Amino acid sequence: MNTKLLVISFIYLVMTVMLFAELGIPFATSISVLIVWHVTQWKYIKSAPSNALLNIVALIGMTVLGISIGFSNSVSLFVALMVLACQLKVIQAKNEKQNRQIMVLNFFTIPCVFLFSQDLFTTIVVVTMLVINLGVLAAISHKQQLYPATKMAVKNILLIIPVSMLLVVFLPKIPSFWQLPGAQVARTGLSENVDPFSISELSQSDDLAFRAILEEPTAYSPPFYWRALIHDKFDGTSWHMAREQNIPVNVVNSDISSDYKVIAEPSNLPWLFALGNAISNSDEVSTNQFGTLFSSKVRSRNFEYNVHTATESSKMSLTRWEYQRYTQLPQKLNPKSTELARQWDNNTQSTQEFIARMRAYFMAQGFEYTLTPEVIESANTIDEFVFEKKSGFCGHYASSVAMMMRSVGIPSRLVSGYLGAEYNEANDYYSIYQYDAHAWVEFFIPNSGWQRLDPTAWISPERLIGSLSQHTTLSEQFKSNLGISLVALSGVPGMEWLRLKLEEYDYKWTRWVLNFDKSKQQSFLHDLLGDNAQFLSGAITLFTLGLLCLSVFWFMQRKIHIKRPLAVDLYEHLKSVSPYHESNLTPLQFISKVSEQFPEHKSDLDEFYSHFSAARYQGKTFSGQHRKSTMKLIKSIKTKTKRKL
Amino acid sequence: MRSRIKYWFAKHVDQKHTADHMLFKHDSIYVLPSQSGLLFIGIMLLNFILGINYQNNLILAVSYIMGVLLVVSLLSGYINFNRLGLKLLSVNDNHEGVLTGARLELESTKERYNIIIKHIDTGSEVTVSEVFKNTIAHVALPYKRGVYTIGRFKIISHFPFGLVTVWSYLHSNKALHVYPLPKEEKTEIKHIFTGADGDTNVNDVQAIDEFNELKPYQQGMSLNKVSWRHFAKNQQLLVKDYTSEQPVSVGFDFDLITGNVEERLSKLCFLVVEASNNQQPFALKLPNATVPIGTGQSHRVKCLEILSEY
Repeated sequence: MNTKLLVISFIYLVMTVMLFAELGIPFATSISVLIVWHVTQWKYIKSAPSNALLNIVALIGMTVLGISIGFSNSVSLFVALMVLACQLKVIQAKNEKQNRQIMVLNFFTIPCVFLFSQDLFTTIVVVTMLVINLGVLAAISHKQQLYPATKMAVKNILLIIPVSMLLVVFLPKIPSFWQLPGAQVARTGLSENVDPFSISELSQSDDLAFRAILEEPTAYSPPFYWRALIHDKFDGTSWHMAREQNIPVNVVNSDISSDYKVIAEPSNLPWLFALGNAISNSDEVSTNQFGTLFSSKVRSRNFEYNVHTATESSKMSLTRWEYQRYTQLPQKLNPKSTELARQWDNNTQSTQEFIARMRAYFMAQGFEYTLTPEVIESANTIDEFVFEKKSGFCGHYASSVAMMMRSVGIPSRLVSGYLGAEYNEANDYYSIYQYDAHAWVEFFIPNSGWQRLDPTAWISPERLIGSLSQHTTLSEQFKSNLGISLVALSGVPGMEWLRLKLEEYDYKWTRWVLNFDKSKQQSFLHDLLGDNAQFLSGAITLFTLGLLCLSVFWFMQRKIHIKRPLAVDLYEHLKSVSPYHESNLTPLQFISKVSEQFPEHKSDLDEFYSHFSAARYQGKTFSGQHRKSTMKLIKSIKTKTKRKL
Repeated sequence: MRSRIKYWFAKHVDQKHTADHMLFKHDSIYVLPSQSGLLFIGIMLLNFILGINYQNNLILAVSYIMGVLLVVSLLSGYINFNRLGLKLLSVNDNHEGVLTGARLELESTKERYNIIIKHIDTGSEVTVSEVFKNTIAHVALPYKRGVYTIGRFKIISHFPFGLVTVWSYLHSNKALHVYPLPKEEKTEIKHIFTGADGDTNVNDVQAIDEFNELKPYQQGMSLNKVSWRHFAKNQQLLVKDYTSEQPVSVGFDFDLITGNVEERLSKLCFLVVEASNNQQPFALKLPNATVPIGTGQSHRVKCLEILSEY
């Protein structure tokens, strides 16, 4: 068994770690077991196991992966099987040819990680793994040591990466010609059902949810309520997503300019994010009747779309069945809250007054905002929250308020999305993280349409400004919920700076590398090259490639020119201008001859010789000052020699 | 069509590469992707399709990296080979199964990696992992008894990464004699013929010594022939010189040895080797050729060559 293959096993281990979230524990366990097997086999047995045994193991592995990942998740299953097969091949490889095949195949296996994640960190890891793989390939095919071979691979790749980048930029983008199933990525995010009462600790994640580039920042001002999902059915404990959420409606809008861009991170849900009532002119993005956006497919890579805010407000009136739907409540639940709402309703004339009453109540009763509420188990969840627990997060308040409004016949619904944004000044964009997830209420007023109401703001007004990470009173709770991460360490000096720097690089990476699509390429080339962009870019690519090949060729062909030390150069120069330029004298003989010829320069010549010999034989440096004086000497000797002739 | 291309290529190679010394240059170096390289190209295309269909720039970039890597490999593989000299120094004639082979010198003024010299007829190869200066390589040529034209050497390199094959040829017309393996022969054979005139049996040993002259003794002369009479007289070492002095001469005849052809040749070979080791003059007769009586290294080589040529 080849020792170098241990490195390949290590590469699979790294891949397993990177794909842990997507492919799960059974996959990680299988690969780890195989790696341990490989190492043991290599250390103690020193030869490959029999094919029969390997086939049995392969069958077991395939079954385990098939069951644990599921056949519906075809891409994940495919990648998992691919890694499994490669790892088995590493154990089985008997000769050099098979070893080489593994390494070449790895050029397919390793980039599969990109199907699941494309951030900067992943890219660095994947490129490193590819370079190591290439090094092992070189080492195995020339029976070289691993280190020099890898060094050669690094050199080559460093040369090649800029060229490939050039190709990505200038080669025309081809649209996809087949529809392939997408990889399912594991991401925390919005849930389609909001059930705040069964949560005892709001799990927070500092994963990025999306970024937004507001091109006309004046048109939008904080607080930013990013709408994503509408929940219109309450069953006493949780709010369910509206069925029309993924049904596109055709919005007629003459103005299709984009007000802002959103770059969504990979997600396993199709729901997109926008401020207010939104329309989008991007492909594969549709608007539903609630004015929220959704994508026609789930994406395993970053996705950029344009958003335009609809100018005219949505519906001014509700149909009868719509009214029923938005005032639907489970029967006979939460009698105390219902009663309280009824009292307020009797004493008020308008919805606004009703809300003011409600607000006053919540603010007077000592409600608290917390990320670690107590679980509410009784059937009358809202009663228990409003009259007993009195502490909770956005979901609790939104649920309670929406339920109370519904109970008195005010059409209302729950909206979930994100609140806030972290502004990056250097690059003028906003980052929205998973921990910014929020829920609020929308209620309907005839002739005015749907209005936003955020009861959480009554309890914790700070939550409205900026992102949750900037919330001072909750910072301890917030950080402890996050676990170990850079945001949690934001108190440590330098960490915040580091986090923002990394975030900035990741932004640039996402915007300019991952989302460099056909339209971006066209506009970029157009800006760069003008009208004949397509033709010119092709020409430039070919020309650069040709030039590059030639220069590499000449560079490698060049005669290795050894640079002579300065002292030797000066000596040769002196010799060439003196009358003795064709004689075969030693330097000492030469100097004495010249000083005989020009006695007035004797001291200068002796000094030069002492520096010359110090530089040549004692390894001392020949300083710039000595150089100057020597040049002077050479000049005067040159003129004198000429005069003599 | 395929065979025609092959034929044309073989002719081209014979024309271009027939020499005992080649300096490989742009017109005599051939570069193509190797087997791994073809798989590599396949995977590059696969990545390209994947990158396009998932609109995944990173996978697309990997595919471009692979493409450029292949081009760089072709270039640096060529440069690794360019201006490499190969010289056939000598051909080692020897007995079958013993070290028959060729000594070749790789001439280089810079470092080169992974040079494989392969002899096409016998399939034997030598790998030189690193060449820094002129390096001598010995390629074993395990032939059966006979005379062979060395023919083609293929010089291959898979540098770098084993994705490309860079190769060239050296076609030599030098002959290689593979002598029979000596096989011990006990029977005494004293059939001798002399001259080119035919089968004169000279079984009787010629032992007529005719005294010619006295020569001064020189270092290395046999003390047997020293004239001790002269030494006793005037302390001068003189050596007696005889005309037509010949040690016992023998002749080996193919027809008088038992066994099949190869056995007979092996036995003859043994006799030739034994006789020349003992510095015994001998003659050799094969059905198609005869070697007149003689002695010395060149005589021995001539006989062995005739034995391998039969």
